[in-house]
Amino acid sequence: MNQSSILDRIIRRNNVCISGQGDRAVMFVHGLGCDQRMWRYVAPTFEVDFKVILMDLSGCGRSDLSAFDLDRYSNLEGYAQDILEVIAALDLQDVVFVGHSVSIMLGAIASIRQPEKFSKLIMVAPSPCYLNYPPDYLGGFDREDIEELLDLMDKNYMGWASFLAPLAIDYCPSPELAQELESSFCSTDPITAKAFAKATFYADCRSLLPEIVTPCLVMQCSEDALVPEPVGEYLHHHIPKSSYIKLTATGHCPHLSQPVETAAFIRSYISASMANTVSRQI
Amino acid sequence: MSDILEFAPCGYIRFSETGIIERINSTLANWIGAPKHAIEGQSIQSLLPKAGQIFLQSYIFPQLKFSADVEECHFKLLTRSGERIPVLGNFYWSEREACASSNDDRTNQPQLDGSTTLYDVIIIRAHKRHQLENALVLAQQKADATVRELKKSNDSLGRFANMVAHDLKSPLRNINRLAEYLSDDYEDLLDDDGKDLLKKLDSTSQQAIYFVDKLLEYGSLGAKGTLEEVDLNRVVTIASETFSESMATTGATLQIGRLPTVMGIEIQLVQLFQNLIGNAIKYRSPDRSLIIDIQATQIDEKECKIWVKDNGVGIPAQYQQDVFDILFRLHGKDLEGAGIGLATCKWIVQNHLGTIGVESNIDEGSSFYFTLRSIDR
Repeated sequence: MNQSSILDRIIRRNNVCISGQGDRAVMFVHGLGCDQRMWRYVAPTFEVDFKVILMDLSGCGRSDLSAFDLDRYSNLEGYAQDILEVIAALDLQDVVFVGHSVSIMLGAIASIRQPEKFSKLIMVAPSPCYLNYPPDYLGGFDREDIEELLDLMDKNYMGWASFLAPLAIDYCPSPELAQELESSFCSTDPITAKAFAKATFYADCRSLLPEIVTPCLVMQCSEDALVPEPVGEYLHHHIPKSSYIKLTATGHCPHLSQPVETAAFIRSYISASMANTVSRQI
Repeated sequence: MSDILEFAPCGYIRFSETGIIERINSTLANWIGAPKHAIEGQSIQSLLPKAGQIFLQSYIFPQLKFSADVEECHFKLLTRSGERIPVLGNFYWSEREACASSNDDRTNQPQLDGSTTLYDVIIIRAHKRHQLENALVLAQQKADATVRELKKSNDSLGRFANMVAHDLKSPLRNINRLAEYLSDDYEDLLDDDGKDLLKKLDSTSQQAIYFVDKLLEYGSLGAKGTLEEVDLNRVVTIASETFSESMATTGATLQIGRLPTVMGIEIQLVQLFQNLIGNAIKYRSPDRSLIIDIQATQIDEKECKIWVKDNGVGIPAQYQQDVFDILFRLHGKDLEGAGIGLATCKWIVQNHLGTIGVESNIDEGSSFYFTLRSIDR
């Protein structure tokens, strides 16, 4: 296989979409349960002056399901590797990485491996670990909660194999089929969806935080059912060059519920010079 | 809220984009075990266990936001006493009618003007369905595990067969080589019977090597095998070599017409002819010398029919259907054979997407026929 077809395969695997006018790259990566559409209210506002990179994580959205490898994606490392491969395939430098929820840890892992590729990490509703490890750390969930979630996924995805799978297997389904897929809340292959949910909720990336050398913005939401407030503060406290901001947006998806506010904070952090960045060394 | 909905046999909630419950009907409030006023104004998350909260945030909200209503969602309600009620819910955007008339803009337009979108949810309890589906999920998981096990054991069986074939190959080669040395250096010391035995040793070991080679080839192709062009003339020559001795001693003749090239797996087709020729020899008539006639006819462009005809004892009409069943033995224990020869033939032909059958008259002989795919010309 030659060089260009490998690159092509990576682009196809993660359904990478590139738009925008600028030279500087902003990469938006979605979290659990959805795909790049999560950024549809925020990403377009950056197209005027940035190169905007959107992708679907493996097993999500329109990623190439045939490329899904249960071993590779049994933990966050595999997904983080994908991000580095996309960056390499597009030959990007000084990437501003904007991640939501679990994907902020993918960005963090990737930035630790290849810090020279990243200029800033922006973490929307982030958590380094969703599980409770009392008494020192309360991520919000016990193992039983996660088991119950996986069971819930089983129930809701039950019809997937017989009804939706035949549609999803076709990489580029017809518009009607695509509509059909998009309009179903369980349009992801349950096997890949569960793999991602497990990789997310059983991960504990707390020990990595001090190794992050890239400047970070931690954006904590109000009343986020998935991320208790102390978690955002924990991140800010343990990531060397981090700034912290608490959004008025409630819930776990401020980029959907308060896209204007969210986009404004992202933009101002990107344009802030390093000198102005609130940083705290520990 | 209309009186009908208030006490309807289903739960009803209206909540805002931020998840705040604006209305709840009495039916649902009763299920939850709290007065309506204690629920209204709270977050919808307060009605869900943590797993449900994650599911709502990660899977349901984005979907509602983008395009679709969410239907038939399984989740559990958390009552005030800590019980879980399995339910099915339909989530609808509450102003869908108004939206439909304005080109369904909501998918692209966030609410930037401070107004908030409202969602209506209808909930029904699904205790029994839940139990059934639990059983189904379990059964599915069991079936999946069995399939995985089966695949694993098939794979290891295949690997084992491959390994054995590999291991057999070199001793067989050695036997063949030893026979050659024996023939080169000591043939003069042997009488005619000895020379004859030596020749047979040579040809038998060569045939064994051929089979092991084919077995390895077949194993490497996977169980299904890939069809390739196979010259049936060559196949019949290889297959009949096995019987050269018994045919000579019984005075049998083999007549072979012009045979086509077909799409097939060579080793299987060799086995097919070996079984049919062996069968003809086994069931020859004591009253006359055996004549085996192998002919082919073209059915159409894509298919040909092959006949293997003998003048043996024949098969009674009532058994002609059964002869291809595994372990069917027409002639009791009088004749050697495991009873799987014709079953193997059937399997091979079916594996080639063909059909197999027999026409036979008692004391006149049998005519086995099967169809194969001709090569495209």
